[in-house]
Amino acid sequence: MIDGRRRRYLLATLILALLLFNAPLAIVADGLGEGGYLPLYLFLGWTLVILLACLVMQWRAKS
Amino acid sequence: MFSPWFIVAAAAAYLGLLFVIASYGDRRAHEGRQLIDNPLVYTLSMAVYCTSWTFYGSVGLASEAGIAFLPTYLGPTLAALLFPFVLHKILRIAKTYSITSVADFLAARYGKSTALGGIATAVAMIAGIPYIALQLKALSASANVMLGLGDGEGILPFGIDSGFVIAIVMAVFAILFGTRHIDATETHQGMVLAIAFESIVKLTTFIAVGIFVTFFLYDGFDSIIQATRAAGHGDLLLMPEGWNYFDWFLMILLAGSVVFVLPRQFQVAVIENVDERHIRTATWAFPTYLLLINIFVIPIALAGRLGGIENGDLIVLFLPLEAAAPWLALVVFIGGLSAATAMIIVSTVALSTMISNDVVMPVLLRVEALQLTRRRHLSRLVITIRRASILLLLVLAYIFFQAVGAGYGLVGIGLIAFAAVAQLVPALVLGIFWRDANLVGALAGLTAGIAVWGVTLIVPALAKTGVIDPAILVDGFLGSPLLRPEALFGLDGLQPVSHALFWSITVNLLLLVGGSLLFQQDNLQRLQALLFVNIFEREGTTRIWRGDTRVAELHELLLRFIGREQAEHVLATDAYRRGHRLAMEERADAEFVQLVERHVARAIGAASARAMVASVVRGEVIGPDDILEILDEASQVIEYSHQLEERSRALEQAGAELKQINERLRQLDRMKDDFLATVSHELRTPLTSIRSFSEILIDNPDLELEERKEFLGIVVRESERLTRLINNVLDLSKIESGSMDWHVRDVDLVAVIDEAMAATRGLASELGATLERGAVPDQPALVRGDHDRLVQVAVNLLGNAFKFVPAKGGIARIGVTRDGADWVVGVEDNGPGVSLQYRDAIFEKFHQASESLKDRPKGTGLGLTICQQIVSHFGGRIWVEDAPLGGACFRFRLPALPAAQTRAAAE
Repeated sequence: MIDGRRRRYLLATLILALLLFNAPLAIVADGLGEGGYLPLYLFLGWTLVILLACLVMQWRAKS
Repeated sequence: MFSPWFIVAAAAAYLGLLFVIASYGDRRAHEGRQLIDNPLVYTLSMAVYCTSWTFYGSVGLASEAGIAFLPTYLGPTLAALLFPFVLHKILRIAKTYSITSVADFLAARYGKSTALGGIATAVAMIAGIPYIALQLKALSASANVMLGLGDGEGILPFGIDSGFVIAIVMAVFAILFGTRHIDATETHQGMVLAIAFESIVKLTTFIAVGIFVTFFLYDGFDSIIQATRAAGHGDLLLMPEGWNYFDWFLMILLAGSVVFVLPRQFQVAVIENVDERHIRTATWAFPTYLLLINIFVIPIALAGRLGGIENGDLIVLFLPLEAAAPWLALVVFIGGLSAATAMIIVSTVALSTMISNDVVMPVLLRVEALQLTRRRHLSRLVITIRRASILLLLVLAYIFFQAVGAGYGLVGIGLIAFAAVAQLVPALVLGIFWRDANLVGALAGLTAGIAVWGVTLIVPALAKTGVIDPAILVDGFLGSPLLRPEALFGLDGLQPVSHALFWSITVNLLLLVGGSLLFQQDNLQRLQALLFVNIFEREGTTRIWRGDTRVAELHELLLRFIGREQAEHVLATDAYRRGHRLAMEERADAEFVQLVERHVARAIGAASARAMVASVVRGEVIGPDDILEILDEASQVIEYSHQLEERSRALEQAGAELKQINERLRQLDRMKDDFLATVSHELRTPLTSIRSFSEILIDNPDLELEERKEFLGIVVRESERLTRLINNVLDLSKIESGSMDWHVRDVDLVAVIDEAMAATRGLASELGATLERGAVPDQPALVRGDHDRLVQVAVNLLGNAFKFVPAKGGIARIGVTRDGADWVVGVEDNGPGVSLQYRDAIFEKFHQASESLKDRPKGTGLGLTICQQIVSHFGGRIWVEDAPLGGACFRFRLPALPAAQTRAAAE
């Protein structure tokens, strides 16, 4: 259904998402400033992952 | 506030609208226009994932534990990134083998096992009933609030419980949606369309209330957050108290994995899918939906907390009510109704199919006394079983809701259900990627997994409600502290669901893998494993039936299970595929048996369908030979694949060579053009001179004799130059076209070089250069060749040498030596030599013409090419190297004649 390149990019996005949503990056976000930025961080990370997934799946190769 | 009748009328109108949408979808599907054949509709139908749990429960949880609700949506986001890998494969398998549910999928994968299908159905029911109860609870609570009955138990007139009424309404609604037609095999296109519509409704209503709370009750996100911090609830914005990141990770894992096995998700994502390409959009659009519906969860929850609303699950409803926005409250109520009805309809349809196909029908078909295999029409029975199952499920859910539900929040019930259904994940995922996963492993893993789930989640629940002795939580099973239900083997400090998930999935996986490694698969299991794991390689080659039966008998089977119309459709499909219609008395081949089995499977599941088909196919055996045949086919495919790869590589190589040749041809073409330009130039120059001097001579009869002589000399020299050029072109042309008249005989190369020296001595004197005779043998250097042509080669090489020798002190030397079996003639000079990069190119035709036309040496550019052609013609080779004299040394070698002949010639 999707070519090898897209598969690789999608797996890379998955790995990025796993890193973004879990420790240790989430711990860093949890401790930022006076605290309370974890929800914002998670929603921004979530948006980024969706944008990347959309890019990978919908971008049309020139060929 | 609205009157209760208005609320009831609004809800009824909404449900009516859903029904109209579903009917419209069904009608259009019947007309051949599939409205659900759209990736966005597919994605929206997948949003059935968001139920009352999301609509009411997430806010409730967020008001108590902040972001603890998020893993439930981050998990599916990660899972969605695996859709092209996992869901695509499941989908292809399900479509190829007419799978009807997740239990059917597992049963079919593990040797069409009715036992596994039954257990998987039981697990799905254990998980599904609390989950449906959760919806009833949310619906009941929200309806009670809207009807002014408070948020406790809602007692309607005549003492009827509102929850019971809702359960019955939902049952009727689900029956109407999911089992409208007598045809048990129909897809539910109308239902899917209605579910997609409901997804839009719940999203927009939730966002509406989110905007209202965030921007009308407060001044934006920041305003709510500041107010929360000021009220001392800042901890809601941090990692929830009592959670650690392992909990967090496990909850993401749990939510992500169940997306593939939740009965309702399997129903919409796999069973109701009409085009697998829709997965591509769902991969990003489904997470987008989840993101959008969650954006306002935290603001709403914080606002509810700040507003002092105690019942967290109903914050989303109470906030607009308390803000005197009854219309918005009604919209929220309809949104919640959407979320709950969508889940209830799809879940009950999926579970009723599982109950019918994987539990009831296999049992009934085995009861000989019922003689079901002989009954003419079974499709009505199938539908009746499904309708009864839906009713039963809702009654059981209602009982659960009454007995247990009141003590748990919406999310609490949902997570317990998730952990139960997650037990299906290992068997499903390993089943499609690992060929050795077998039935023993799957049964052991699933049973043990659900048992551990019961021990770690249900036992504590029962202990806490006093149903069993609470001491077990402290003392553990058998009085062992290692067997404490909430801290098995001392694993303490995790959330109850994380703890249960960790142990149940670990045990499940260990037993599945261990059982698969320790026990052998039977033939049917091996076959099914092969077909499932290699689905993309093996499509269309599933000839697994062998036996003897007539088309009429299989047709009879179709009539009984799928009705006349569908049976006719199957025959027509087969006729289209094979190009003619099978006669009823004909012997059915493997493909037809397979086709019938697939269609019967759509009505009663894979395991029962196999049993039914086996009952009419006499002597059906799937032996090791069949398996080996299929394996052979697989091996052949692999072999072909390797061959194709090799051919592909060879073609690539040939392509590269062709490209190289093409480049060479282009280069030659350019050289030809240059040649034409050169020849024209070369011809024109002497012709111009001849013409000019001839005209001078004609026009000036009084010219001095000396001048006349000089001019005539020029005319003669230019004529000679012209002749030489034309001769060279003609020679080359003759050689290349094969029309050269060769006079082949034994030739003495010593004589050849002497003759060449004689011919060029005049030129040497003219240039003031020295012509030397190098080493020569003291016997004839005999070769086979054309004497005159070889002299021409030697003269050419000497002439060439004289072109480059210095004006003063120029030396050219020619000699012949023996080298092994060849004679080698060498012509060297003390000119500038030939640099390495041109040593091959100078033998090409008009090479000098391809260089700059200015400063080129005197000559036609054909001499060396002609030399090479002549030498090659007699089996020799010509090349250039550095000369001992410091310039270039042209050498050519020719095969020497045998010694006897040489001696004879010498004598």
